[in-house]
Amino acid sequence: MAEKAILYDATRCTACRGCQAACKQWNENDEFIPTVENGVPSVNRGSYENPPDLSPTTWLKMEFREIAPNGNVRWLFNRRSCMHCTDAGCVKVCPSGALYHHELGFVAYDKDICTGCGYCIDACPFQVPRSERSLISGIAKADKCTFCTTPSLDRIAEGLEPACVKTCPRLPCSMVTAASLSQRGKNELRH
Amino acid sequence: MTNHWNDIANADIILAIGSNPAENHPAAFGHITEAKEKGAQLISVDPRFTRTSAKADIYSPLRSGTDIAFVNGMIKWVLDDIDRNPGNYNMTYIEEYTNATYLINSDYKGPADLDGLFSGYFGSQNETDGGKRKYDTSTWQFQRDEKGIPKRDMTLKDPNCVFQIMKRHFARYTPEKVNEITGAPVDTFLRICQTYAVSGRVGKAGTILYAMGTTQHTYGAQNIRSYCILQLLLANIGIAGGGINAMRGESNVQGSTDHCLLFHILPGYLKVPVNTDASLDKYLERTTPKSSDPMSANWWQNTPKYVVSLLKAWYGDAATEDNQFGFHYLPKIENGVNYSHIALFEAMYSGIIKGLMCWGQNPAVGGPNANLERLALEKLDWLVVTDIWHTETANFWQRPGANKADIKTEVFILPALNSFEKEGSVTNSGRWSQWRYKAADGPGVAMDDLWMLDQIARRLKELYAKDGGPNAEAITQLAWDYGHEHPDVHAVAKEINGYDLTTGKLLPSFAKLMDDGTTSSGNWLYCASYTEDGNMAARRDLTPGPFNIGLYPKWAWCWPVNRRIIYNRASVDLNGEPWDKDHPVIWWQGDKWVGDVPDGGWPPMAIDPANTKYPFIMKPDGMANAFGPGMAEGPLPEHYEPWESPIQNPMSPQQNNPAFKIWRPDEQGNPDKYPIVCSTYRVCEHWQGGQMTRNMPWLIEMMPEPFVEMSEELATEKGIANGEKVIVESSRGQVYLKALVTKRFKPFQMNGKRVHQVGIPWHWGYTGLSTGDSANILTPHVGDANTMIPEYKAFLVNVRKV
Repeated sequence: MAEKAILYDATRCTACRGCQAACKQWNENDEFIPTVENGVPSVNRGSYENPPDLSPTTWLKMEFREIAPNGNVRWLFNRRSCMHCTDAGCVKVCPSGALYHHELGFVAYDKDICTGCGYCIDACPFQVPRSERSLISGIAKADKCTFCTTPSLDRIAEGLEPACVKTCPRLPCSMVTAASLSQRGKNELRH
Repeated sequence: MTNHWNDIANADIILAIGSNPAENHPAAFGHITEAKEKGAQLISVDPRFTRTSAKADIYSPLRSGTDIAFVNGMIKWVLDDIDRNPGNYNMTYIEEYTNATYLINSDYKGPADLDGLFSGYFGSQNETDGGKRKYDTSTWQFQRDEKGIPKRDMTLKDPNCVFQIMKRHFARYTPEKVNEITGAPVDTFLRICQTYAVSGRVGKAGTILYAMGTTQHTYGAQNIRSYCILQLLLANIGIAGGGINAMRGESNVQGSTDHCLLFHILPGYLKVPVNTDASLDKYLERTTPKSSDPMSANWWQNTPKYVVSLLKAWYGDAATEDNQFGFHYLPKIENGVNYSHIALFEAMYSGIIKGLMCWGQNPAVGGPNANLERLALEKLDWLVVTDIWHTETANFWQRPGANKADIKTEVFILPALNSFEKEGSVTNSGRWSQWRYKAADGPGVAMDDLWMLDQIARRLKELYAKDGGPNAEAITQLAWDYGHEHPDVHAVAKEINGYDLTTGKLLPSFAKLMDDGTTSSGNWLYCASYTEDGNMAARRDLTPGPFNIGLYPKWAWCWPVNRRIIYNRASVDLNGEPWDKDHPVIWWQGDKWVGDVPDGGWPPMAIDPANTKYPFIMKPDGMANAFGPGMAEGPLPEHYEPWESPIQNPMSPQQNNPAFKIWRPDEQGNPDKYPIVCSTYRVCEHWQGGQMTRNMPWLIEMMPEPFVEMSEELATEKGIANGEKVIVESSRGQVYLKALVTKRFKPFQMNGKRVHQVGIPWHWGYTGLSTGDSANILTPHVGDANTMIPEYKAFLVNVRKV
């Protein structure tokens, strides 16, 4: 089967953050988000960007960066999530096989067999995997984007796109074959 | 919208002014992206650098409330360029399709002659007497010949012709004056003029996308008039990729407008009867425009057919010729009195209105001068709130600072279903009525609005039949039969379309409506939406349609009569050939029109002059109004300062719009005390009054708290750090907000004077998972001179550290 990848085009993205909400919603990553019940305060830190960083329950977030070269302000949006490397540091160092290349090419993750060694956290050049020590087990298992292949929440096995791609308004984000992705990159460079 | 969402992809130049589609219409922004992929230029004009600006090719700041100065400056540039390069403009369009050739009453005088006023003003400069803040418009009217047809000068040379009057009027809006008023840099402004004026060339299309940044001002309607005049001079109305396009703030606000949930119009934009309309005939005489020009279709001459058919839909067999089809059942408003949002809340505050039904609306957050409107709720005997959550309006009596023991208002809550829990239609900004289906059951005892309305209407009918009351027949005689158990939403949709009452068949189009009581239609504009062929709004055929310009004529249904681009007969020349043959909307081929549903099927003007009509069929004289004598504050847009402004009007000694109603003169903020301009707006992550989104944890995490955006320069002056809590105060109240210090706001340099502006999203309140102060605690109770839409966008505040 042809390898799959997510194409994110920052020139078309308006940072509506539908992807960020859809990721949390589909993957049920809502235990630390602010509600009255769990007592987590809602805080604006002087930016549209929130939460401030990736975390075990934030696998995808949009970054907002303001720059003003020569006084001309620009507002840059970027998608921060697992890059699903072909040559993936996390897969190389993972001693348990919890991190592995899916047959469709991306880096999938089986949390059940993760031992919480934390090697992947050090090995990732993009600081994507995050962990938090469980107060019950004492183990700090990692978390990161699974390309929506978490067992029982596996969209790919059902022939669907990842939740972030599905919610994107048409052009900025799409699931494509890895081959067409590199071809498209070459075309854009030529322009 | 004159055009529709998909059509934006046909534009060559897109001007987003008074709007922020990337923030407020994120899915629809895809159409803009598609146009950009094809080479279109996006221009963003906004007081602050927005998510839309981030995607724009050109961005210009402007101080809130100065659109007219900016766009009038663009119009001046175009008028000058027409002199320099007439070949770059579509002069046939200007001469044949707009009223630029019309001669105006020779006594007309404009702001250039009268220090900022037009001729006919009752008051004097900066009049404060409300009774004199209005115009006698007789000198603004067209000169007419003995038959009553407007006189024209096809050479555009007569000093009394609209084109020459416009040249004199707009000449005062030089780039330097635009800069002095708006703060837009001269070089950026000129770049925008040059870029956008390219759309004036035959075969090029420019669209203006506007929203609440345009409308919510004391001169909001004139803001739109300035856009219209620009679009007419550039021949952009009626063509693919052009138009004047209001992006609506809610999925079905277009539908609610079409069905006229407003005080001054009945379904299909028919005028509401007033107390002086002694009979149906008198009412129809007042409201039906006349034209003696055989070339003018004057479509509104059909008003009697639409009114009588509406009365037949509402009163059925009880509407007969003998009782003027039940005309006197209709409530009549007092002539000249305004009953819109601000007026209603003032009437509640003064104890005139005793009860309020608040249906899917949250005025305790969304209404202007929110503290005042919350106090007005305290004076009610009863309040009914229909919503999917407890809202600030429902909970006003337990808001912070309220004295519960003194509040006697009895509050009823009717839990409602949301849009995915019921079946029905929604009409989008592009006038497409799209049917949607129930996807899930609602929680608990929540019911849909239709069921609630049906129950209320049935019980009112019983009560009025038993006990009587003033004009009881208005209720008892209502034809009300939508089924016995749950009302049938299809029965409602069919009633809106209308019937041939002789055959009992659904009507195919409003052309069949009659004024003799033999037809019914609950909304003439929607006649053709549900016919004997079925429910047109439910169609889902993805064929792009004629000329492949993305009309999608078999996807859902669009008013009027499935015409996707209105005024499309202006998209062709006098022979019916499209101006833009790459994107034709309609085309006269052989002996018929091909393409979109044409705006009337008459032949082109040069092909059959005896049987043709002018293209702007909804105007009595058939021409698009560059000069608009029906406006409250003048036939041409003139710059006035917002009610609260940090500067003296650089244009004239007339400081504010001379014709809007000033409700509370004492609440006008003084720039010495409140020197900073403030505007309110929405963010992508929250929705309106927040009742839907401030209960959604995922959305709250992304946008957790209300904030005030300010420039680094202002923050430095005030010693405010990013993320710190600050107080923003106006003469109406104060709010606590997080400071968001950003490069995206810059102080305006106007004629050497530095003016700061800040901005606040208004979604928050005291109910729900995420709470905080509403920006509307700061906004004033003043509104537009024509529409009374509140001024939410330009007022004065001060900002200080807590």
